Amino acid sequence: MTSPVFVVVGRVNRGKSSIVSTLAADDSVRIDAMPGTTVHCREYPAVVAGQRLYTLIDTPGFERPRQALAWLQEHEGGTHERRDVVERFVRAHAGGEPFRQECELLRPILDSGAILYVVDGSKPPSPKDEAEMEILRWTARPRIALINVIDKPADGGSDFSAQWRQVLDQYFNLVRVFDAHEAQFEDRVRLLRTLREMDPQFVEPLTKAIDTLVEDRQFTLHEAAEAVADMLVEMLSLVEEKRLPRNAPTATAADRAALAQKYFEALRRRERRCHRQVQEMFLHRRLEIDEPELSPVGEDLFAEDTWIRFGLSRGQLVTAGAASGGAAGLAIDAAVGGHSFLLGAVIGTAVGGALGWYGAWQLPAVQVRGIPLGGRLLRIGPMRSANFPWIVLDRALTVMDLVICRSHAKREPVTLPLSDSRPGIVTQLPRDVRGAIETHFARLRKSPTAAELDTMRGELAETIEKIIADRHPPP
Amino acid sequence: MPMDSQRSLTLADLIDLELALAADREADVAALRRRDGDIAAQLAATGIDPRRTTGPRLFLAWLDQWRAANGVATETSAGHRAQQLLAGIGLVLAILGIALGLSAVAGWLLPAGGIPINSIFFLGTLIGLQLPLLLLWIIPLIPRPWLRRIPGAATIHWLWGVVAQLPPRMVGWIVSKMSSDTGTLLGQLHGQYNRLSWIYGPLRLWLLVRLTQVFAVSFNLGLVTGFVFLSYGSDPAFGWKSTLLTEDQMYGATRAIATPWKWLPYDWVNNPTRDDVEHTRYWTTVNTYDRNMSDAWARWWPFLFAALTVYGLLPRLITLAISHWQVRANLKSIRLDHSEFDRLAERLARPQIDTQATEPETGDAFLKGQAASPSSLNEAFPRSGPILALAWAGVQASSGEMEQLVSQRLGGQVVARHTVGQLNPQEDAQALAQAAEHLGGSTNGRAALLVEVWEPPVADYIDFISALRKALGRNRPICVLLYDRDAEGRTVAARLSAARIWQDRLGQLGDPWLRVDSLVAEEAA
Repeated sequence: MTSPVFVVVGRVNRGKSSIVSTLAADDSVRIDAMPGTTVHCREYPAVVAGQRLYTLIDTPGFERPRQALAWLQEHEGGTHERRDVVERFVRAHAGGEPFRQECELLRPILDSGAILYVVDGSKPPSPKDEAEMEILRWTARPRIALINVIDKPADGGSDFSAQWRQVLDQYFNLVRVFDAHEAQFEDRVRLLRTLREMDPQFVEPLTKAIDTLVEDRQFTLHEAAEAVADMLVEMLSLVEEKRLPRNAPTATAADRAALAQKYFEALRRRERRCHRQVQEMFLHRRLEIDEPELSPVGEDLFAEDTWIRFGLSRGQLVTAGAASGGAAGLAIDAAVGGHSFLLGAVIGTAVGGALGWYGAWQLPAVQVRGIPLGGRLLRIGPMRSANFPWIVLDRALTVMDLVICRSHAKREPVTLPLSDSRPGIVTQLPRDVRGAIETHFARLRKSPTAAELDTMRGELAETIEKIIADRHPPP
Repeated sequence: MPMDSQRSLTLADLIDLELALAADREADVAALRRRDGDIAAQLAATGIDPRRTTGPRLFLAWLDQWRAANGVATETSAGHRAQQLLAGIGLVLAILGIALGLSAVAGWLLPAGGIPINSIFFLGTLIGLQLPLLLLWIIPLIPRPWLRRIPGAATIHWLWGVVAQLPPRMVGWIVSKMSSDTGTLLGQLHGQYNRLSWIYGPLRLWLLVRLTQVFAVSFNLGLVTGFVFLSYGSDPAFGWKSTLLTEDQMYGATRAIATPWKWLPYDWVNNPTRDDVEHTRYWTTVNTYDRNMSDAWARWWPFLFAALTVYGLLPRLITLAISHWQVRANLKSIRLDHSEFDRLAERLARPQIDTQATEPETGDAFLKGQAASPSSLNEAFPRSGPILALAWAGVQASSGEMEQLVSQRLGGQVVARHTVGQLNPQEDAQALAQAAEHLGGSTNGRAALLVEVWEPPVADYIDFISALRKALGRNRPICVLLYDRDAEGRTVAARLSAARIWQDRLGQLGDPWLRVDSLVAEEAA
């Protein structure tokens, strides 16, 4: 099986590195508008189980394409030996000016690389682009052109894709539009499928690579769902305790405040860790998600605004609580063979709904408890608020959506929530899904055993995975 | 590290696995993927397919690779140390048991003096007291449904549960007082265990029971050996005394006790005989013994030896064997399927794909590091005189518009206009030659080069500007005017980010008469 090499070429600031960054799912690729910052090629091999399936090579941009073409034309003996002339050009100028960058980018092409030529579709084509395309044509290698519209019309830019197509069709086997900054996983797979068409020899390795990527994606979604389920289980069962000194007359307000602060900080820390894990799972290691610390007006986990914007509305909480309680009551009715005349379901629905109404925004308070062997204990937790897990789930789903949909070429930080007017993701879930999740949450609030927690963790992860799969179906 | 994929799970393995998984909870996701991806590849190379292998076989193979990757020898692993600690506790209990057994039997045999030893008390204290303890041990083995039929058994079973809670609580307390590495290790083990007690509870119980049975076997071994050796070096006489028992009853009791060994083909199995029982009876208050019946006093010895062995040592050997078997069976039947094992299995089974760069990006910016000195028209630049306008191919303004904008921006009239940057670089040389001619006779003439601001200032531009400077002379003012356009094609002020790049790059040339600015001033736009 031949492992194809795709050499990404184009001028500086045309989205070349963005395309590499997206295709390699690597947010460490340096994207710099200043020409000359990259003078060496950088390889991005796609390795599956130790086998290299294909390689992307990011190259320095053309610096003197017109002069390079002039040299080639000057030394051309006939159309049939154009590729040899390009090889002679690289040999003649290897390792020094004035054609250092041209030699650097042409070398992997001549070593049987296929060409991915990147142009900016928001700028019109000009005569000088012709020099680059002509040189690439002389290499006689398979070529595809990608039109990357950097400044979109929606942002005040222009779209010259149609003009570019007319020019590019003269020089390239395939021409595609690829928006590196908005490309999602599906676009990445679609582009790989296109690259497969460049050469029959590319079909086998690229098919294997695509299949593996899709499979890997499913594993990642599953892994992320488990991370969120873990977080929810740990946050809902978290308890902080502090033993009071034997000679202390009573618990001071400072003691209570310190313990409460420790508890809420632990919840925040756990949430941040989960968000970080999800980012890492989707390979957005450098993405900065701005989640400000506790402040009266910030978007902190416990800030009032967070509680309004994320989670379920009071009505939805009542519905979810009633559905969950009703299901539990129905189970009791079934257990007694229907002799309860559905009284269990009725009571369960009423109690569940009432808990949803009254317990929605109730945060736990520090309590003083006696210890059987003597002494007293300050204790806070576990979280009983009905809306709390919904808020945490909503924020986690928001982070997931963000990293799943985000191109690795994007560099700017993000602030949660994404938009002021945006409703929470959980509010849009179908009613039966909300009921199923509320059932999990209700069981978690009943201080289950470690064995039950482990089972619930798995069940909750399964439900979350279904939600993600519905929002992001496989390509 | 050589790997035996068929070996069974040991306690050391289990502890090492749990500690490794506990550490993974805080680990970096990418690092875990990389580590387990590498291990999966190594396992595949040794014939273990992580997608088709499950349970302990997979995790043991993983553990071997993990130990090798972390330079942890099996003999020095935390699990092995914990296992050694358990073995050490077992050894201490064994020594203690033997010492106590010896002491107990010596307490009976050595101070005997001229008074015979009452065999009833001898057996009662050394064996009789052990029987209820043995009963306590047997009860946890009885299946729960059967327990309901035995009065009081359920309570004892519950009591066992309470007792089983004590060691971990004690460990928790001890660990809280420690600050060394051992304390940390024990603390991790303790915390991990508490979290997973629902899986490892039975194993823990049998580990504890095995330790207690090591002590019990050692104690009985001490009794038996002490009984033999102290009898050789001394002459203990055994008899019996009882207010309530008749000689016939006593003889009947000895026969009943001797049931397990009385079928053996030796004469001593009949000891003590009916006559021995009769002749070895004594009364404390009478204080008289039949000293002529020395053989009868000694004939109790094989009976007592057999009783100590059969009712003391043998049951404890059996319980020790059962405990040991239970530990092994529990280890063997552990399913290793809690959520963290599931995740490890998923990481090993997931496709091992890596699309990222193999090497970190090097800072090979050969142009960076030089001080850039952006120069704009705000700095001194002559505002009058003829202008030579050179437009780079691609600037889409019409000739008239271009001349008008350049005149507005620089002041003065455009006297000549050329297009440069065409496909053929030879045409640039011709334009440069003409440019020198156009401005040759003028003392205040200036040159303007129009470029598209969105184009990067690559070497092609730099070469041309250098050549232009050479053609016009050192002191001729040159201005690079940055052309930009909006969506409707109108010429607008150059976007600042792109203009900054041009200014930075051209500033590196260090040309005092070179300016870079927008073709259309910001305020005009």
